[in-house]
Amino acid sequence: MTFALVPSDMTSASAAISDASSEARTAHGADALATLAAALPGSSTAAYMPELGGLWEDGVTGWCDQLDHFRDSIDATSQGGTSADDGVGGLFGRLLGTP
Amino acid sequence: MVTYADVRRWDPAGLAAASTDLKSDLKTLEKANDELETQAVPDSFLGLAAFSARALQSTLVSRMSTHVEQATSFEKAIYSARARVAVLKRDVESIDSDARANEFEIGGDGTVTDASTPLEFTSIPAAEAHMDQRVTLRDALVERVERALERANEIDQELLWAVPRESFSDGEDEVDDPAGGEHERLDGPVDLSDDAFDLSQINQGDIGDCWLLASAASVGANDPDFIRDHIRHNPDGSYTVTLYEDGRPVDIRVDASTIPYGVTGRDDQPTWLSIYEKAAASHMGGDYDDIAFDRVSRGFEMVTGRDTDGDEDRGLDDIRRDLDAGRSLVVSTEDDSKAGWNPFDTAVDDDNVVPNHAYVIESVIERDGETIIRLVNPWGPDGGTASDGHFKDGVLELTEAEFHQNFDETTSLPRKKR
Repeated sequence: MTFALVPSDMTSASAAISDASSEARTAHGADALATLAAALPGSSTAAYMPELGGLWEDGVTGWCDQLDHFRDSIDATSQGGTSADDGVGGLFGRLLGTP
Repeated sequence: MVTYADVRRWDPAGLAAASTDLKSDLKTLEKANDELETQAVPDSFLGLAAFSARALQSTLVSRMSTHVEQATSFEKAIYSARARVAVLKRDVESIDSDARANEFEIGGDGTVTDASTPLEFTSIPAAEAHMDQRVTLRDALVERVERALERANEIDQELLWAVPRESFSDGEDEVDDPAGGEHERLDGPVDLSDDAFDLSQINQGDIGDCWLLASAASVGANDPDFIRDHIRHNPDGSYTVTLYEDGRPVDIRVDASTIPYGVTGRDDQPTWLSIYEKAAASHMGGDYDDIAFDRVSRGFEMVTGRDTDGDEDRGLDDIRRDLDAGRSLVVSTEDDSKAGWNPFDTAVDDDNVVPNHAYVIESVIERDGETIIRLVNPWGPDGGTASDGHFKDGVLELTEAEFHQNFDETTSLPRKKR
């Protein structure tokens, strides 16, 4: 398989992934859910919001962590531009299994 | 269950704020996801590594898209609930205001008490008229409080129904769904209002579980709160039904879905009995076939954990006393007369009665000097045609003699635990 990359494109991609990760980390859906819970005291919905908020926080944080690993892999690929394609493929392949 | 004190503190502005904040957060996540989708892997990047990178990109984009999509639906549900909570809040304030104006107090649990200063009357009729007026005012307030609580619980259940199920879910939560049919997800939470427990709402499907449906429906009609306390709608959308085995509670968790040939309500839509039927099938062996044919006493005991009393030949006066004492009663019919020669004449004589079946005893009434028993067929109020080709009514009204000619064992369940 032909291996090709343009280093400046890879740098832009890395920056975009980094931006996406940083941006997503500013979203705190759990705060909105806490506001919802406070607005409906005594309800089953309110009782579930802390758990749902935790699930969302963990989910978004985990997603951002994966983006950071993704960016690191893009950076590593870009830096070792001429290294063996198969080896770098393995690097991404391992990430696919990341929970 | 939501209390009246809770509803007084409900805040539509808080719902609006939650909706706005969530919408803003979701926009942020959507933007981040778009950036990942469009810019993370440049077109100039080719080869095996690029292939793997695109696969990872696609997985991450899909994960966030699912979250944003489901959370957006939830945000819309919150926004929609805001308007309903605002109306409810105004109604509660109006109820409280009317109560104060008429010198009534409404407690946090919704209890309405007369707080007026006792008056002195010059005549008994005047005192009685005043008392009647107070009772009328109190009853009207009680009804308004009950309606408000019912609406509050509806809003709560609908919001809970809208909670995202798959966003960032680890998929570890499992339900005990029985085998025996294609399960279809419910459109919304099953109705648990008082109307849902009316005996006209039983419409048995193709499963031979009249023993279960009649006993559960009888308990529900007699004591809706008992069923409401034993069926829980979980935040993940599933239901947990508390059944009993040897008097001990057993929690059965089932998905919010039903099979097409199970019990429904009069409108052919699933009801709380559909969830009970499913939980029983799961508990009794894991297949809908496992709940076909059993004893009514088993149904009562499984639903309530209480022992029952059985009587082969209970008279209508005794049955009326049982009903007045708050008991739930189900009666079984005799065998099919066409099944063969029977020396004890324990066969159904009336073509209108379903043999080997269970009927809920609704009431015993006096009509034109005769005692009549009203029985509800789990087939539903419209009845149906049986395999013998005869039409069977949904509700039977029988004299004492007719009752004994067609029915045998009456199973009776006390209201309170012994």
